[in-house]
Amino acid sequence: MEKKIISNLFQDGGAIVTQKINSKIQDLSYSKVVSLFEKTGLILFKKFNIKPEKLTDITDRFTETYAVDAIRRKVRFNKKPIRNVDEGVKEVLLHSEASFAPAWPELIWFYCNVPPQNGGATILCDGVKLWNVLSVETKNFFLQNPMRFELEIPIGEKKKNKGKRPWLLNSVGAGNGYIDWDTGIFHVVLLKFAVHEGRISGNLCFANDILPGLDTEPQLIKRSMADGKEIPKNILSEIETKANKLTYEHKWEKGDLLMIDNKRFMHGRRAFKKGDPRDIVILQTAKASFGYGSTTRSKIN
Amino acid sequence: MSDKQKYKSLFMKSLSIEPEKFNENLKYNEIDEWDSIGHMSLIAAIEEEYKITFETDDIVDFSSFKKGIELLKKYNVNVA
Repeated sequence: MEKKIISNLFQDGGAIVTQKINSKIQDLSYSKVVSLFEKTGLILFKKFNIKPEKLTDITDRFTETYAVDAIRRKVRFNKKPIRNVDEGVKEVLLHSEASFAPAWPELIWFYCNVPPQNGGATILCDGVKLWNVLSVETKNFFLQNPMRFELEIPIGEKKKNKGKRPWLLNSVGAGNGYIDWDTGIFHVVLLKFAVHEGRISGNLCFANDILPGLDTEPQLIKRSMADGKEIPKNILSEIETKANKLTYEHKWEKGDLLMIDNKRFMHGRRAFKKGDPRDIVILQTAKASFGYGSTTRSKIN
Repeated sequence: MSDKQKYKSLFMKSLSIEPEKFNENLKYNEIDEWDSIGHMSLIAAIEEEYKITFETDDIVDFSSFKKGIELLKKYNVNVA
């Protein structure tokens, strides 16, 4: 396995893994990939000549279950786990995919079917590095205060005249859940911390959905701190400034495959022009086929 | 269609599971389709079919295909 780092902006550099002569991505050692991934949180597979319709042959190895994800995203290449990324051409600010939702994917994968001609880079920020540079005041604030997310999740079917029904979502932080069968929407409130343990013991990751506007995520209706108050402006401004300084732009080439630790890295995208052929697809691994921290604890190694 | 066959088809239809992916050892959250949202559709379909209303504890307890059969007995539905 030939590798080099992606950027010094990341705590552990990330990793670019490239093809050796005549090697296939499926031939890479499972344990070496997992170990590299847990350490760096980000792997870019390059020049492997991956066919989009064969993507799940690669991702299945590292996936126990996929997140069924937002119904709004179109299925691609006749494979249910492969979906379009968010529509539109506007900039998307840094966030951790569905970090506010009950099923927060452990891994996400982006594959470049057609690279953008102008703009449209994917942006990445390492939540471990970001957490390390935040001020003591900001760290204290997020260590003590969970966030509150009000969600409306489409179930995918409606049942007329069935009305509303209280529903217990058996998930830590969830409450006030009910299904409105007339609209086919599940309403729930979730409390979650913006910072959490990483795969490497002692590393805290600041990976969440604080920065993007509510208009970019249709399921997210309201966001505040648990007490209902907004995030103080000085804290938000500090996060924006420091995250921008640690943001890396990935300029896509055809066939690039990014494997991202979604509980560590935040991602987003730069704007691009309408009509640009940019075609990036996403797969979301709800539960990985390897344990959280399974290769990063000294007694295991 | 036998009672068990009907119960199986409720699973496959409400969770959109292809027949080759289905087996009687199926557990909640073990396949992509049976996640927390899929669970809502499944419970609704079973309630509609058997004209029952599950108690909240039983909805949470409904953690596998087999466990569902056991829970349904409480509502006088025998699918075994």
